[in-house]
Amino acid sequence: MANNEIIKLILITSIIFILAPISIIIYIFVYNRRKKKHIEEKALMKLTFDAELTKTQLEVQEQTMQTIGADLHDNIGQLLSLTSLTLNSIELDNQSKAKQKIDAAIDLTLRSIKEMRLLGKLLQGDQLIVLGLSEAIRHEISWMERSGRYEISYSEEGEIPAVNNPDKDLILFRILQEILNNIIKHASATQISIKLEYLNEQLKFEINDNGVGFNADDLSSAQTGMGLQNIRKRAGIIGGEVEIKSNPGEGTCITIFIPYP
Amino acid sequence: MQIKELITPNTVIEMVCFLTGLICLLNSKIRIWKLFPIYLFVNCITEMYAIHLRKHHYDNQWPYNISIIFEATFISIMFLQFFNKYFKGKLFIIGGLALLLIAYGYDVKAHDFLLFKNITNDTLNETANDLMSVLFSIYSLSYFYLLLKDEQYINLKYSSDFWWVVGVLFFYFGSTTLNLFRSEFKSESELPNYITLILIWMIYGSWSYSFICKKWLTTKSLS
Repeated sequence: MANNEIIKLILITSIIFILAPISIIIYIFVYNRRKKKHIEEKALMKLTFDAELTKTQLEVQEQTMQTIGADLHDNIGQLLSLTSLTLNSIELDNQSKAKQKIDAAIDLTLRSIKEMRLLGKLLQGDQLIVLGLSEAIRHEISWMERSGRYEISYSEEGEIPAVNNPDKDLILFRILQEILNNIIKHASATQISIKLEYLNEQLKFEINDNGVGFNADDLSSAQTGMGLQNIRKRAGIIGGEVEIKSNPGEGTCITIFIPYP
Repeated sequence: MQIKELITPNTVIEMVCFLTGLICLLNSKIRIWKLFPIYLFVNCITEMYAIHLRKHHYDNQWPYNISIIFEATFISIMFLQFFNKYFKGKLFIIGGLALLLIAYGYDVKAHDFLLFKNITNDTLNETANDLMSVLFSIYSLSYFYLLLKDEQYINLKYSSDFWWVVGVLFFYFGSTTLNLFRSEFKSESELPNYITLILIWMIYGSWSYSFICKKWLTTKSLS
């Protein structure tokens, strides 16, 4: 090979051998920038998640307080007023009548105590999540059943993992509260069925009612109201999906799929 | 010997790197960084003494053949320190050093290059040099791979480790051309000198910047 050709070959090879590391370094810088962006996005997502979790906790507490307020006013308040009236109307001269009224007052007081006990349990409602999602759901259902307006059935399928995810449990519980609120306010339902199913590391949460229903296909985002939007948003932040099936007069079926735990 | 004779583009960048290292690394908390200026000093002395020998028409290969021991040791330990952040790299580095020792032993036996005289004009420590280029290129690429795989974000612009490895990759990967075409070079050809000069400026330039990053980081962590 001529001398010039060798020099040319060496020169080209040298340039290639210097350009190769330069390309590697450029690639590392580009990749590193992407890594930074990814980390920032993850941190932002975590922040959003934490904020949403705090909001959910507050909402669960608020819901509990509202129920307590309503119960104190409508139930226990009435019972105690009635007790007071009964005791005030006792005439000590008429002993047999007085005994009847005292018995009635005792009965009213006992009912008040029972109601107070139930309220006490409800006060710990937002902490029920610690005992697990199933326990919290059962408690919510038993409270709702007391009104006597709804026939509620609850079933579980598959073995729910012993190691739970408290954050997901709290959000799911809040979603259930939101759905039940919607049923109370808008559905005019008499029967509610709740089903919790665990299969292939996924939790399926299904809530059916026999209420008035609505046209799920025609519902624009403006019409969906804060309730349904919130349900979708909440499910989204824990990696879940929501399926809403409803038709006017045919009730509503809401299914939520969540990767779990 | 005149001082002026010793001032060449190679010695200038080597001296700059040595002085930067001396200023920036003297207070370093990591021992290998703190000791690194010793290697840079050996490098400067080797280069200057080799120039002196050449000017007086002596064989000037043997100082390089001695300084290669420092080169292999210091660079390997630096890589060990980097690898240890990701995995226990002791075996990896010791294995590499053992290979280099075998290659060096072979060169000593085959070329008599420690006899300090030029018998056949092939006293270059070829095998050890070639192996070192391959090994250090592999180390550098492994470090970059670990860096990419690491989930933690590092600002590479100010990462002393990163710029130190960049210098190593440029020099040892780039010098592969010289190793490949060594036999093709005519003694009067200036091309290898120019290529070497570019590579030397790349490695010492990169290392100097790496030392500045190290000093900046040290100052920051103390404040």
